[in-house]
Amino acid sequence: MALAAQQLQLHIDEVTLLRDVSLSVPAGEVTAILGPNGAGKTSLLRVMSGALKPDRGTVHMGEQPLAEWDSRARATTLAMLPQHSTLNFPFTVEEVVMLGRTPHRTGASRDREVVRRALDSVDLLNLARRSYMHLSGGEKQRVQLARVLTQIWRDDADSGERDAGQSRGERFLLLDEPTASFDLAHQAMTNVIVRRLAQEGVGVLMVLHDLNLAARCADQIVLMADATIQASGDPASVLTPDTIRRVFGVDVILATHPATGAPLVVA
Amino acid sequence: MRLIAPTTLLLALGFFLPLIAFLGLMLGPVHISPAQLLATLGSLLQGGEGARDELIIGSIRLPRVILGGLVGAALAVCGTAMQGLFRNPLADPSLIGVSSGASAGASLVIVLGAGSLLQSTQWAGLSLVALGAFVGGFFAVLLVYRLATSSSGTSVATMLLAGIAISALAGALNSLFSYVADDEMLRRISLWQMGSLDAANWPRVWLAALACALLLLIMRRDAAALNAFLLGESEAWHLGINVEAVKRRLILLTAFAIGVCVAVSGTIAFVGLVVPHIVRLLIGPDHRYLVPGAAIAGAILLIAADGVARFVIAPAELPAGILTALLGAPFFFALLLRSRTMGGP
Repeated sequence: MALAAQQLQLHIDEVTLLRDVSLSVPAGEVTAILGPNGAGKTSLLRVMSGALKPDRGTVHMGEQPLAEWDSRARATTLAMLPQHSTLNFPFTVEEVVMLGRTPHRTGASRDREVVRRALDSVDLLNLARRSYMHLSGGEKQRVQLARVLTQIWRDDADSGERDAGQSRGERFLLLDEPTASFDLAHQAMTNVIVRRLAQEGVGVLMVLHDLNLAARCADQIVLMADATIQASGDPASVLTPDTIRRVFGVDVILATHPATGAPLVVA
Repeated sequence: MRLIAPTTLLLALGFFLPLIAFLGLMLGPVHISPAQLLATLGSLLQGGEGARDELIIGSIRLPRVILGGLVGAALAVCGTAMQGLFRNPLADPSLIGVSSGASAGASLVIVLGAGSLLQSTQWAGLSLVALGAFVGGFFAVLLVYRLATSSSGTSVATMLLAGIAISALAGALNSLFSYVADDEMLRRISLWQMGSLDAANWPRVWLAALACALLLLIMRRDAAALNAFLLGESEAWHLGINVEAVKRRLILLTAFAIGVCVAVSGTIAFVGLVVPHIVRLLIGPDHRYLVPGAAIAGAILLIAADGVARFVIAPAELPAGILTALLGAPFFFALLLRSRTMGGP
């Protein structure tokens, strides 16, 4: 199964936000979108999440167009973490994360268990009963990350909830700059979470600004500029000095990470 | 954050509601002691209706107290729905034009119908003025909703602006009707706008009960959706909520319920704004508890305000709407000050 966009076109007023964009996000892989500000990265993410209708082109999840999915089945298969959260009501941290269970019918005790494990995975179990309003920006973003994790959470205990023919793994997670307000430790944590999800069969599509994080974490990198895709492929083939100069207009030196062997971009 | 466990608050409110209602039945120009009241209620249940106390309780105070409870509950639940929908703790039903539309409708009927035979016509216990209010309020909301809805859905931000515009228009119409009104009409218009339960009767109780039942049933079903709404509309959509359907349902429901409230009791201020806010401060914003909590607290507040309204200048009485505003406004100031010191609302 894949989340696949074909020939997307998106205009708002006279401005072209997406031009001829086709992209396939396979389940079980991590795809990173990179590009300068205003390149259309967030628009692409929103169209591929189904929240924004393209003027032309289609988005399929598996065999079916995304728009034809039953909304509850879609919500347990595809989750999206926006760049900013606007929550302005004094929920506790665990209540916010519990909202991720809205499309599930697994019962309160199972929901609490999933929420606890998601909070644990983003390192927030100690703040579970704190008010969301009093958290720092990075902590709020981690709460929201935990929320989308519970939304597509599936493990052996969920076998009853699965529809026939739907394997445990096939889910998709779209993240818009998830690490923007994270410190170093929590950037690394995001890397670990994303890789583990991919191993379980989740297709991850995320917008990033850190080229080296993308090189370390992604199976596929998509470079966008001017509302269209400029280059895509595995990190080593996309992150070359030439392409980076063409897309970002910046001269860089390319090295090899001494420990991981991934490309290392030095500005 | 929460100060009280939600179930504790619901239990406490559920305990106070009958007490307040009992007190409300005792209060009035004719004093009825608790023992007399119990005896009267007992004989009313057995179908007796001839004695003086039975007449006072059965056809004056009982419908009035029940109507107060129902209207208070409906106002508070509609406020909860609007605050959730607008994702703004300072929203209330008057934001979408329902109160000013209802005032204009009522004033129009008072001015046009003065002296005509129609004035005394009643339908389901409602005067023509009340019907004018219902129609005015409902149409104002429909207009606001239509203005804010395009092919891409309903924009709550546009609804807010459209609500301001419609309120201004209805306010101007209202002033125009007041300008051409004579002294007698003017007094009726201004009394009506203060909101009072003094015209309570059984048909009005049934109408308010219908609105309340619809509200609670639908809000119960949509409580989880409203919780998801607080995250943002697209987040709610991602969680599998049919965002446009929820918005349409809650706006129409609010328009109907507030329309009924205004028709049976005039515009009663601040219950819709303040009650959900207090309850949220106590038990947090989870709508599964907030909705029943606000409903009972709203009922208690309006029964109490109406009781005081009948008591303070007896044998005359104040409009209950004055008292809820007197209680509500200082709270609103405190709220504004608090959110200002915390760095914006």
